[in-house]
Amino acid sequence: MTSVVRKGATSRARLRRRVLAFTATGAAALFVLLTVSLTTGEMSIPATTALRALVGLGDPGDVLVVQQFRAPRSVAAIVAGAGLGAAGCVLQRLFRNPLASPDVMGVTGGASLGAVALIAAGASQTLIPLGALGGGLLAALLLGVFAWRSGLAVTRLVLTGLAVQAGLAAAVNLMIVRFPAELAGSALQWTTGSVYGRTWPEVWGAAGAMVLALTAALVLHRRLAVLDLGDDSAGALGLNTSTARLQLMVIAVVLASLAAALAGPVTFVALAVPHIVRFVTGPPTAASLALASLTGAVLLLASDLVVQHLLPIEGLPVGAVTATLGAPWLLVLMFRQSSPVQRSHA
Amino acid sequence: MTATQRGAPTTGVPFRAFRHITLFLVGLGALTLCTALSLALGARSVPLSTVTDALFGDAHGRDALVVTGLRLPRTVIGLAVGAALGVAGAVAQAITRNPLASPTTLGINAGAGFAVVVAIFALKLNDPVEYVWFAFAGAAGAALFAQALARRAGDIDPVRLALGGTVLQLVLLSWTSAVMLMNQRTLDEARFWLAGSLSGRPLDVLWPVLPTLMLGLVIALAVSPALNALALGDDSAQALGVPVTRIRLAGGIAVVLLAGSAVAVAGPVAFIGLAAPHLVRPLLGGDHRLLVPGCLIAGPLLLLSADVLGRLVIRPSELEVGIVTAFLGAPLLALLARKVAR
Amino acid sequence: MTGAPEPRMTGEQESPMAAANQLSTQALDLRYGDRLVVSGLDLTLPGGAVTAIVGPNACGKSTLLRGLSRLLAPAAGSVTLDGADIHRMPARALALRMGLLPQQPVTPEAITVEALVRLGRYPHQRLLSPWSATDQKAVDEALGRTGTAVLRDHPVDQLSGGQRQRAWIALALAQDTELLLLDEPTTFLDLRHQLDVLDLVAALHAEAGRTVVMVLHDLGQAARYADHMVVLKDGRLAAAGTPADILDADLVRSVFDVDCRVIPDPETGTPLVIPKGSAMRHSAASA
Repeated sequence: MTSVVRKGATSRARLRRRVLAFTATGAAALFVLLTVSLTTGEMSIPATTALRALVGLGDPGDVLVVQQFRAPRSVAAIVAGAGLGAAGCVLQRLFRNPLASPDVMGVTGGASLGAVALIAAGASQTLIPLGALGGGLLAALLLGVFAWRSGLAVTRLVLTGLAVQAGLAAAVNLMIVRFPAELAGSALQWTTGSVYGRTWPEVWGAAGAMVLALTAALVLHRRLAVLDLGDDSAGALGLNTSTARLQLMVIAVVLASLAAALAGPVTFVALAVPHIVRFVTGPPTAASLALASLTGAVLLLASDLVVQHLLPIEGLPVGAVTATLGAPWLLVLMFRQSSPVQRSHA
Repeated sequence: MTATQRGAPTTGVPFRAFRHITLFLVGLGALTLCTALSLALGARSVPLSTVTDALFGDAHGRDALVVTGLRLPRTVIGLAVGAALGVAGAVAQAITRNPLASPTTLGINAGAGFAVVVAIFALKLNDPVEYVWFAFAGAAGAALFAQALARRAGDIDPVRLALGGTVLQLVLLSWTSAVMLMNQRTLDEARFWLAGSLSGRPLDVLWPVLPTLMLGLVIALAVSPALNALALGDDSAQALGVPVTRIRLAGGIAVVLLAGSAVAVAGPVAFIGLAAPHLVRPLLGGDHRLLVPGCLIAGPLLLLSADVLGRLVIRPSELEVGIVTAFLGAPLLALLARKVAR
Repeated sequence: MTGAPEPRMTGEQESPMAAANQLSTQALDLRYGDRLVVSGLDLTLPGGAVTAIVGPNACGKSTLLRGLSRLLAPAAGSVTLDGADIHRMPARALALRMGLLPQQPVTPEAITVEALVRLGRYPHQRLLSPWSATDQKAVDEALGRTGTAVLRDHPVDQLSGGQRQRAWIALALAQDTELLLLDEPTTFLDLRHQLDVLDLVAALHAEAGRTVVMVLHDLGQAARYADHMVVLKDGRLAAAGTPADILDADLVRSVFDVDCRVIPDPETGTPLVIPKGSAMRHSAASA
């Protein structure tokens, strides 16, 4: 017997410690970032005062600034980031592709088109998130209709997703070119992603739906794990692969569309977060799905703070920051994975 | 004809050669027709007879002026750009061994876009003629950066190239948007260029990049026989005595020169580089000695037809050709998706 | 049990023992797109036995296995398990009775051996049911039986070919089914690991009484390890029965187009196929 025990076994205890440490760090970071976001701004407020104001105590002026201006924006960033992180995690596993993300599926394009169309129609600011939500879901429906042919095969899904995305992006592009200059600016602003100017009703609505979708994703995680085994093995284990893939895709699309409704199509969070999480916690589990949400929330909130306070330029989209921050990480992590040792088994 | 010795026995070889020649002639015919349409059609349609007269200097007046002054440069530019994109797409797919690769996925268009937007913002440019070298430099810079990312042990890893190119493209796109959002004038100038268009460009735009374009074409045609071996995988190609590393490097340079020239002239035009090889492959097969010349015809054919279509759909105004190709390319990609995977 | 109209194809007595876990096909046609891969197949795979499916390349062996395991729906005819049409059974109900190891399974990235084997419990779990003691026991048993218990925390994609194959068999074992289908379980393995895997299969049959159906490439191995043999050619049945009964020089010539002698295996007495040397090889050998 060649039971040569190779190197590389990660002991379970060590892995669990790493997951716990990562979770604790993430939660602490989220708390610190949230506090910073509530305290800083044109009028700086001490941390304790800000936290009291958040629950409605203290000086009415502070309460107004914190509750009405700062908190919705921060919570929107957290909710959207959580959705994007989880959506990216589910999609990359469903598509068995490290580059899968809402952009690849047309969700981003659909959300952009929905929002830009409403901007063009002169709809009020409050309707635009709904337009984005509808656009994202519509794009996913389009993808499903084109890609479904007695089941959902992965390759066909990826290619069709690219096609849907390209077509929708062209439509957005057309509108931006045809618009008068001021409208083109606000449309472009929207399509790069920003959490500026969110209000409580929007944030609460999206947050509630997001919690439901995240719960569904966690409940169905077992199906996702079985799907990872490939269609033949999953089928032999009694899973209806097409149905399961459809359910999970719907969840991922809802997560991504809700995020897009709040923050616009922010790139890179959905793409980079799963890689970061996998790097830290190893093989994907239900816990890593939850961690992806946490990491996404931290990343987006941090990026939004950078946009607001660290950069000298007004009105920069948060998407540009997530891309700049996320890209080097992503490249390093992906190149680590595509090392020859790993790929020879593929 | 040592080339087709492995073909089917008896009738195979002459029949296939005949078929290929016929297809090339049909392609050239279609291209000629498209060129003629491109000269004749637009906001103001001109009869073909007037077109010929105008070209030979026998006609004067407004129609003739439209043909020689506006449509001739536009058509010539369209032919050059289409050829460059088509060939660049075929070579890019071969060196990455990825049927979805195209100049866009290597970050070339995004690099050119970012460089032009920065130039417009910082140097206050406002004429496409002035953008040419910035676009070319941006394209070349992005493509070289993507290839440097993909380098490992002196060779370019196709998987890394695809991943790195895609990521680079996303970053550059977001920076482009950021720059445009900082400055209203930049947004106004750049959004038209970024859509990708053949209109409003004098032939002076083409001359500076003609040498690079020609050099790229020559390299692409020269390496095309070796590209066949790359399709077998690096190990098998190496075993056949093909210098894999050098071929991939030469192919990469050809793609940069061709796609860089194209984007410098016309702005980012998507899908031509992706679609041309997929159009040619079912007709001529996967042999790059036929595929690359085939794309040399199919590229301009696609681009000119898209441009003519863009002029006709919302007359008297017109659609930028980059938007038309994206709209046409998307269903094509969806069709492609339905064909693959049982 | 409605009065089944189909005729009994062989004269075999249907004892209660043989009826359990008996897969059979009735006029089965299997297609990939337009291509008819298996046609008109009437077959009975005895329950409680090890069956080997053999045949030349592209004869439809693996396709048949996919049809038997419900991964491929029949174009015509049916597949039954103890008389019930498997394509009318709920997927999960079938998964409780039949496990499958595909030819080239997809190993999820970075997954550990134990995490992989745990997935075999999927059909036993409800949507929200927690991991139970029964589940853990089945996983431990599967790991123990396949000798992968020491590897349980290792990433599967870093194991050797033989170890990986055993981990995958452990997944099928954790599924805890009476019937196990294996698609070329020995491909890409060296001789030592091929024998390890086949011995494991034999032990599963002998000790745990599992019914095994496997596609094999090697006629000698098939004859040695199988109680029952199914020979396919061009998607049709060429022969079926015990190896000793059916495996002879005429069959090998007609199915594989190879001239050979069939002699008793000096170790086991089962038929052993010895190809006749061609003139070319002789001259090369004597040179």
